[in-house]
Amino acid sequence: MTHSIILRTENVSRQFGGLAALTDVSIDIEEGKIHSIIGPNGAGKTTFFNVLSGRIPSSSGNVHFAGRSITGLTQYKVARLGIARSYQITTIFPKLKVLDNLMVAGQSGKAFNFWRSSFSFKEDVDRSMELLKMVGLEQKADLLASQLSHGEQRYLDIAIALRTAPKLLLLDEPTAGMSPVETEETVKIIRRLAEKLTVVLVEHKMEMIMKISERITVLHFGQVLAEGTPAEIQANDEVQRAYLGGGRDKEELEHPA
Amino acid sequence: MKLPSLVVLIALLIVLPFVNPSKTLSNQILIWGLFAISYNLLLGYTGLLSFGHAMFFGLGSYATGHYLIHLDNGLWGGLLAGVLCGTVGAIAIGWFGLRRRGVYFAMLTLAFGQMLYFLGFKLDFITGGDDGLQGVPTPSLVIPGIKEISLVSIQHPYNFYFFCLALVIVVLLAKELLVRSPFGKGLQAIRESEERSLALGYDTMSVQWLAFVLSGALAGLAGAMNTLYLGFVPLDSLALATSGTVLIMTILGGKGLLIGPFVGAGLFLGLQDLLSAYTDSWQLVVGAIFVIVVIVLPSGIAGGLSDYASSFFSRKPAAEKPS
Repeated sequence: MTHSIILRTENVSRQFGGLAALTDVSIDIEEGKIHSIIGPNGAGKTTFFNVLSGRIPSSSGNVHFAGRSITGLTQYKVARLGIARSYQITTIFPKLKVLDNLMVAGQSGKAFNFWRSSFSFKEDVDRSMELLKMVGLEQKADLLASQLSHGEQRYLDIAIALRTAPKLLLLDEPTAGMSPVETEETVKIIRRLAEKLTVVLVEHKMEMIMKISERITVLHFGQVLAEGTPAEIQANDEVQRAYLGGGRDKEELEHPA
Repeated sequence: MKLPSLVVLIALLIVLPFVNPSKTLSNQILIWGLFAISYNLLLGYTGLLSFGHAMFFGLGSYATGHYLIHLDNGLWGGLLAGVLCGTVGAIAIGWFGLRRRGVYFAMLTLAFGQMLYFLGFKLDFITGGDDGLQGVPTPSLVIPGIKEISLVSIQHPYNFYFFCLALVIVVLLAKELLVRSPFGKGLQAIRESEERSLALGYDTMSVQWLAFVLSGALAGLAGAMNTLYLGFVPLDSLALATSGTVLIMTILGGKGLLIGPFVGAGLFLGLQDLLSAYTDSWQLVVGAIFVIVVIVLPSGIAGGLSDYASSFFSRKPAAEKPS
């Protein structure tokens, strides 16, 4: 069984001064699954993502990815091993063209090549256009990224992450600020992605989480409160109490549809 | 494509010495334009604000001066000495400076710049101190088997200009390629979001370091050309005011724009030339213009002009497909 675990954290903790943002978080992420991390605001979800992607080091504990330890590795090295992320607050390159956003995303391995036009790497252009088609932005390739609508920028954000051909994709609230229609579209995109790679998702929209996830881990005050299938999580009393105590709507959890 | 604006710029630079009565001014515009290209690479494309860029201009100037005085009166060797010295200086100072970002980076460049200036002032057996490095011979451009062209001569006032222009054109072409390369695009991406660039696998510090070094090499070349032209090296080459001047030129012209550095250098030096005939306070006028440009045309004069032009000639409706 262990061979199908792509990412494993062992007792990962992170303190900010005296505040324990994460305490002994041990999670196994199975390859090819859509695994959601949920929890009330301040539960440590984004901190957990930051530790996984190497943006901040953990205070203690280990992280293993695809058969090797990535504990303490700097962010750009973790990225090159195949962990990509999208951001809660859209993080694109606004003053670059939409196509260049993806060209840049795919060419970090050629970062020191200053004597060849980036477009002369045909396979990079093809792959970038392919991804733009996938998120429906191929008509807007030559616009500046800042000229896209909010929803389009969210799609571009995801496409940028995918352009690195990751094994594992961390999506931090991909549907934040999206309309119901756009959310629906995003769910489809994520499903399609999960055919080829592993997706770890942080979301607040319960309905969407319950529909899309194969595994769910609930974080509460920086600790793992529960883990299981969507049905198990919905039936879990502790989870219900945590959401009630944390001020989240119980209604939402009980009646997602 | 920006190719048309490159052609326009080169055409303007070819015409410049024939319409501009002051040969000195034309030569200075080329030299300072090149220096501003180097600065623009940092400020415009990399997003790094440096208050010490004169360091590399000065290092290049002195290196070329010493090469020509002590080693060999060869043109290419002299230029190479300047470029190498600017490069090595930028490798060392970039390594320290790029450990910090934003204001702290700017302060580190300021501190290094001041240290180098005072070293230049104190070590007068190397730099000539306050008097500058005097008596640098001017080498000739030797075309083997054909002839020897003296660069700075009264009989042929255009020689130096067109030699420099040839170098500038090579630099411009290389810079255009660089901006379109994976490195150049990576630089701009880091400028837009360092956070995201790191998450995409960019070793952002090293990428910016390379930009800093390339910029230092170009500043060294500009310094080398200044030495060739002046026949001596003023201590001012290392001064804070020189760093300030190149910063003002770059912003006046428009950062991140191809034509910007030359527009900025031309405007600054042109005003200096014009106004200093009437008043010592010419910097007052330049300062006022700088304030107006920053407030009214934040993308610089070239930026403002190109915005105006693109609103004048209505834009192509459909987005072009690449490839």
